[in-house]
Order: sequence, then C-alpha cells, then structure tokens
Amino acid sequence: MSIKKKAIILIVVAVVIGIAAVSSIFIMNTKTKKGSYAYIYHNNEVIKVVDLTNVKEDYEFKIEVDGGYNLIRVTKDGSIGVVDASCPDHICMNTGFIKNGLMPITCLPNKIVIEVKTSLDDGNSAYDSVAK
Amino acid sequence: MFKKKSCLFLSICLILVVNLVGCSSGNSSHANEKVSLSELHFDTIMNISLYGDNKEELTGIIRDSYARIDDLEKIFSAQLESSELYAINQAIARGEESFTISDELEKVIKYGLDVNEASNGALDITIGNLIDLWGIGTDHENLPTSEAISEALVGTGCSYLSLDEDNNELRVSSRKVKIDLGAIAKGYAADDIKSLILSKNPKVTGILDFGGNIMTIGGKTDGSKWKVGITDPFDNSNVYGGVSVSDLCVVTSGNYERYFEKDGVRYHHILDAKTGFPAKKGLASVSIIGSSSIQCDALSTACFCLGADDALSLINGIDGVECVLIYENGDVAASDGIGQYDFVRAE
Repeated sequence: MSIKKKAIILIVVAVVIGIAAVSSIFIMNTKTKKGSYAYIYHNNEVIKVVDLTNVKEDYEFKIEVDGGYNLIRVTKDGSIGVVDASCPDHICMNTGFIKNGLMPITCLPNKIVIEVKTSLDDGNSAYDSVAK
Repeated sequence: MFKKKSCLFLSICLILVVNLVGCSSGNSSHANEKVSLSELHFDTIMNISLYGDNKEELTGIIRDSYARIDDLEKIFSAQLESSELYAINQAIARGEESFTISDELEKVIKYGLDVNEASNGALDITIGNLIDLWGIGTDHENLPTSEAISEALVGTGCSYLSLDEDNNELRVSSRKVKIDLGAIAKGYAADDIKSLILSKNPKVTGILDFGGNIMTIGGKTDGSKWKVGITDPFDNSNVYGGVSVSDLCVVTSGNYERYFEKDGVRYHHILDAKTGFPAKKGLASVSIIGSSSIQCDALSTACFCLGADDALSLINGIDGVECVLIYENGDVAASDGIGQYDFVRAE
C-alpha cells in the first residue's frame, strides 16, 4: 500500500471518528431534552421520582406521610397533579397539573413538594421564575 | 516520515474530537456557579437561587438567609405561638393597651399603617379576627353568618393602632383588635434577605421566590434581564404573561390559590376589611412591579381590594411602581409605565 493510500485511509478513519463523536453528543443531548421527571419531596427529602415521558395510560398513586395523604395522578400528556389530599387547604389540588419546573406543587400541611425537572428548565425556559 | 506525519494528523483529529466533547459539556462548567435551595417558612415554600463564583460561599449565604427568615417568622407570624406578634395579640385580647415592640415589628406595622392611609383603608393589618372567622385554608374554613362577620368587623380598623416611634411603643385602643401581617411580612423578608445577601457579597445575583413573591438580585449572568412570569389566574399551572426585570420584584395577589367553594361560589383568602367578605371588585389577579418587596406586597393586596379603576389611579400616582391587572372576565389592564418591562402575553 502506498503512503498516499495509507494517508487517505487515516483521514477517512479520523473523519468517521469525528462524525461519530459529534453525532453521539447530539443524540445524548436530544435524549436529555425529552427527559422529564417529577421529584416528590417530603420534608425536603426526595421520596419518589416519577418518569413523565412515554406515559401510556393515566395512573394514580397515593403518598402517605405523617397520617396524611396525597393522591397523585400522572397523565398521558406528561403532566402530574394532586387529585385528592387530606390537607384542609387543598392548595396542592388547586394548583392543577404541572409539566415543567416553573410551578412546583406544594402541600404544606403534609410537607410535600412536587417539582418537575426537564433539561428545558436549565436555561432554555421562557421564564426564570413565576409570580403567583 | 510518514509515521511522524500520520501521528501528528491523528493527534490533531483527537484534539478536535476532545474539544468538541469539551464544548458540549461546557455548560456545566460555566464560570458562574448556581446554588438553589428551598425551605418551608411563613406558611409557604421559599426558594433562593444564587449565582456567583464559589458554590460553598453561595450555600453558606443561603443557609444564613434561611436562619434570618426563621428569626423574622418568630417576629411577624400571627400563627406561631412563639412569635412576638402572637404574644401581642394575646395580650391585646386580655385588655393590655401599650407594648414595647422590636424595631422590625415597628417598621412593618408602620408600613402597614402608611399603606392603609394611602389606599383609603384597602390594606388593613387588623383583619386577624376576620381571617380566623373565615378560616380559609384551614380545616374549619366556612361561610360565616352575617352576625359573626359584623362582630369581627367591630375590632377591624387601623385607627385602633398608634405608634410612638421614638419609644418603640405600640398602642392599641380596642381589645377586639387582632393584628395580622400576612399581607406584608413576606415582602419585608424579601427586602431584608436581599440586603443580607448583598452585604455578604455585592457581586452575587439571583432570584428569591418567597411563596410566589419574586425578588430579583441584579440581572442574569449574561447581562440580560430576568423574565418573570405572571400566573394565569384561570389556570394556575400556566403562565399568563411575563415581564423583564433586573434588581426588581414582582408580587402577585390573586383569587386562585387559597379558596373554598360553596354552592358554586368561590370564597378566596383576600378579605375586604370594609365588607368582611372576600374582596370582589372584578379582578382575578393583581401583579405589582417595583424595587421594594414590602411595597409591592402591600400594594398588590390593596389594589385587589380597590378594584381596577382605583388601583390604576393609585399605582399611576406612585413613582417607580407599575402593575398588571387581570380581570375576572379575562380582560387585562396595566399602569402607564408598564412598557419599560416588556409585558407580553405567553404564547
């Protein structure tokens, strides 16, 4: 094999490696963007993480803490909300369903906070904060 | 010769690939560090997000901030049995009339009295008995009888309070008064904590979110303004619109968060001291933009109770403060200078 041929092969290999690296970075980023998870905290500690991507059917589950409860529904469109709760104020229910990090759901009596985290919240969101 | 050349070429390719990978993950190693911590205080969730050069320093500043908030709660809370205000309310009910109070409590009561006067009584810090009677957000929330409301209104009115600022003295002329600073204490806390943070490091920027009262510190790290959304009062998991601000606060009062419904009627938590009922002046929410959080907090409640026309007159008459009003019928109005904050509807 001539020196010229070897050089061409090396260039092709290097270019392929480069394209593969760039593509993998792009694919990884795309995958992260689609990821959306609800973090459920009790007393500031994470007690459950719910994947909000690719939810096939709406479903519900109950969080029971300190003698109280919050009934939580996860929907096909990737949102999460509280549909029943033992708290007297029902602020958690009144907040409705959330699908981004702008509006956490808070249940003070049960010390429960539900926060959605997506890569869109890391600098790409339209808002830095929300007054309410 | 060839080996040398090909090695050099391969090295360049590798460096190129490594650099590309490095650029992609570069966001996480940005020169500006961010620390964001949430805690429950003042009966709500608070979040402090700070940007600076040193994560440990930022974490320390936030921890100190929450310790200070804890101290402030022990002054202003009407519910916390260990608070200064709780003790005063108990003593008022026993018939005591004169109290030596802390500097902080005096400042906040004074502010409440000033805005009460400026708003023609729309903001009233003596509605504690009305708040207890309605119990909105508690396990005894209910629609009170008109007799009970009339009874609670007997002890409602800022004219029952007077301050001797030289001697830190509060005088109360009726034992039926119960002071509640819920409409302005979080605002005072945001101003106080912003000062605390800047006294520790004037270069720090960030956002304080005290239960939806937003205070911004400086601008964003790229030099642009913060975009602060205003909650959609008709679907409070969504944003209605937003403003662009730096070093200012945005405070919203609305009828959509704390309420109960009976016979198809919504009874929300912003009580009108003149009627004893939840304020009903055609507004679904009021957002105030300004530099002082206690001012924005006080004005948002006052404007909600005043209704749109009087609210716009009040805000247009105060320098450095703007408002966005969303009516119950979905209409929106804003004060004359709102354009400087680029208020836009959400897409």
